[in-house]
Amino acid sequence: MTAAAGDLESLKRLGDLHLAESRFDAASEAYEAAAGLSELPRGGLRVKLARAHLEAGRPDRASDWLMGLVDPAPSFKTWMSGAQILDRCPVESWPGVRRVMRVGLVSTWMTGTFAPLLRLACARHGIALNLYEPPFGQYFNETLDPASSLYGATLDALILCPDHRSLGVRAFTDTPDTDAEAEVERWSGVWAAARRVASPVIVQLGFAHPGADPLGHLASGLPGSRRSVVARINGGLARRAAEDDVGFVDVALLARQYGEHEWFDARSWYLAKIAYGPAAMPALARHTAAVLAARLGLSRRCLVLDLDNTLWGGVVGDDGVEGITLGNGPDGEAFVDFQVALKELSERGIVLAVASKNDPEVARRAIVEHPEMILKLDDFAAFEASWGPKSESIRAVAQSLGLGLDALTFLDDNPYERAEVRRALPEVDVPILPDDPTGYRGMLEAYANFEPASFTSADRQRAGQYRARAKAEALRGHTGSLEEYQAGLGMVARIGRIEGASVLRAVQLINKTNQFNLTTRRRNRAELEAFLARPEAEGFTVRLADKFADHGLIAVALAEVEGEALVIDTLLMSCRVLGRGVEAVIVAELAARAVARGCLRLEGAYIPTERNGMVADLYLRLGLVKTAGAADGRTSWAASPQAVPPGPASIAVERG
Amino acid sequence: MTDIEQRLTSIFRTTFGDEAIVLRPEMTADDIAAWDSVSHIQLVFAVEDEFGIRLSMKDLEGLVDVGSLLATIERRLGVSAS
Repeated sequence: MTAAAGDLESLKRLGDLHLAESRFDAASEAYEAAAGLSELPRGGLRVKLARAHLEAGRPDRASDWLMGLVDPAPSFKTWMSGAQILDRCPVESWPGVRRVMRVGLVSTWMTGTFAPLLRLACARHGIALNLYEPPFGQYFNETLDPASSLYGATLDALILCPDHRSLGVRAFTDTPDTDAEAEVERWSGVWAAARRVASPVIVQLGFAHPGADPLGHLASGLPGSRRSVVARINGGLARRAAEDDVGFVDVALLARQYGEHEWFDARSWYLAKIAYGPAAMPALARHTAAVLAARLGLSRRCLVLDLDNTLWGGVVGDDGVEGITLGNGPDGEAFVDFQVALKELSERGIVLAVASKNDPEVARRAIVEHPEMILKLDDFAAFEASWGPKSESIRAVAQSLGLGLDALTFLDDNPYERAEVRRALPEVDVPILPDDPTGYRGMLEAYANFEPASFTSADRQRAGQYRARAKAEALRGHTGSLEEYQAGLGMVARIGRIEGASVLRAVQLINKTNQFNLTTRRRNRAELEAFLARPEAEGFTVRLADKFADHGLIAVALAEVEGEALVIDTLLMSCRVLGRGVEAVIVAELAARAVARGCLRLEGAYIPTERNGMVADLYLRLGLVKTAGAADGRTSWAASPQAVPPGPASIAVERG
Repeated sequence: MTDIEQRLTSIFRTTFGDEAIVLRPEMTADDIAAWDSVSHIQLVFAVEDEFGIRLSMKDLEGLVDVGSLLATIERRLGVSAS
């Protein structure tokens, strides 16, 4: 690891040297080599890569590297540098552009540093912004006047960025209701005005207000205090936005999350009339972009989850259901909390799915049987457990749910799997889970790309609808193409004598097969060999192989000639090859032997037990006619051997 | 070129989107077309971030050219000007 870190540093230094001397091809080569040493290169390296690529005439490579800047939370400087470089890359060179929009950015403050960051954050969602920024201080002039230069631009979207300094709220008021209502009217009035001119998507930023108040802690309990009134204005504006189909960015919430000391910066205001400090700008851009993307229906809608070390600690295939870490100890509690957060996401309409490298039965068993599992099988609309690449499982999830890959987010603790998915399916969002499971829930809660545009009862039902769709898709997959599927399996049934090594396996099957067993007659080795030694006896085994697997010796048939009939004594098959038509091959083989012996009839019996109900009508299905039925459920069957249909065409029969 | 000069050059080139910029102590906003009030504050924030320092209002008022910016950075870093 130390060696790799050393290589990383020296490669970066080499790149810096080339960049300083304007050798852009050499610089980008060194930086690319450095970037290859980590899962996701850090922001600073991305910016340098973008610089070198852009100067070397490769804006597509430059913008590709810049997209990843948005996901982690690098500094203002890194964002700013990246945004400056992206501004110089033509939109045609950006990866994954889904919308190109003319957007008005109207504010009560200088958005010169915010606008480039917003463009970068929106680009990450596939939204290319052409921004129109009226001079600050013209907030109401530009938005209320239908003939303003702003509306002359025919906007697709309008982003409204006021700040608390423009609120007319005194330190204390005797009429908090009317004061707050008047402010809500004033700011939301802009929406109606804008919609009289055109029908832009509208995103309204709320008010962050420094918590300091001349009334101190007491202010929180006084309806007339500035703190209380600003909170009511935010609440009223957010409520009206939800009613009026306007996106709302809760800036007060962001300021609280980032800390007001970080969020507000006096110098920024006094020096440049920028509402918030540099640390606030990337977060503000990222969340505004997420709300805009949600209005445009571009939010992620499905979360695909790994299982081992993502939903629980440990590997269920190795540790067993009882051995996984869930609910016990600090990590175990963190996994439970993470599952609670996932459940809440699912309940508000985000579809959950599984893509796991596991035995499907083992994986399902862990979910069904572990007492601390919060998520149940029903919570997953799609469930892909296999040993194939994760990207293939994720593709299958998207297909069964009818969702585009760009609606999917994938969470996996394993960097190798994340890299494989990023490479194979660049449309899927693959955030990094923290190393420590105690950080999983926080990571999920900070993830902005599930931002909902609205919340209705339909959203609550959505997960259920996707589950139903996935089931229908699975059924369709079977019914439409089962024959086709089986024909493509290349199945070969090999019919062989019961001798040598196959005797032991035949005895084993005779004594343990319960379900697919017509007569359940048990015989030990000596009894079997005695049966077969008689001249009137017939007996054979069947092995089955297909292009995926050799299933080995899976069936045994015994019969004996009685007068003009060949009577089936024993017919049994292993359940693991059920549903492939092997039983028809067996009965056809018995019929052929009856013909060879000159028999006029093939006869068989079904003797019911508690376990073999699945073959009660087997002879009926294979063309025999019932000749007798006893009170104990035992039935007798017969047919002319020539009348027994041959086995299915999908199985090739070999003898020997 | 000192390490500080090299890092500052990199900031200037990124902020103003011009890889041809070569810093001179007497260089002012008049010498770089893109150097306006917005890019000035970006430059200040980028410098603070790059060098892990915080410039006071008084520091900012004293920034008249590249030379004074370099001197301010060195003073804040505790590096004596050579």
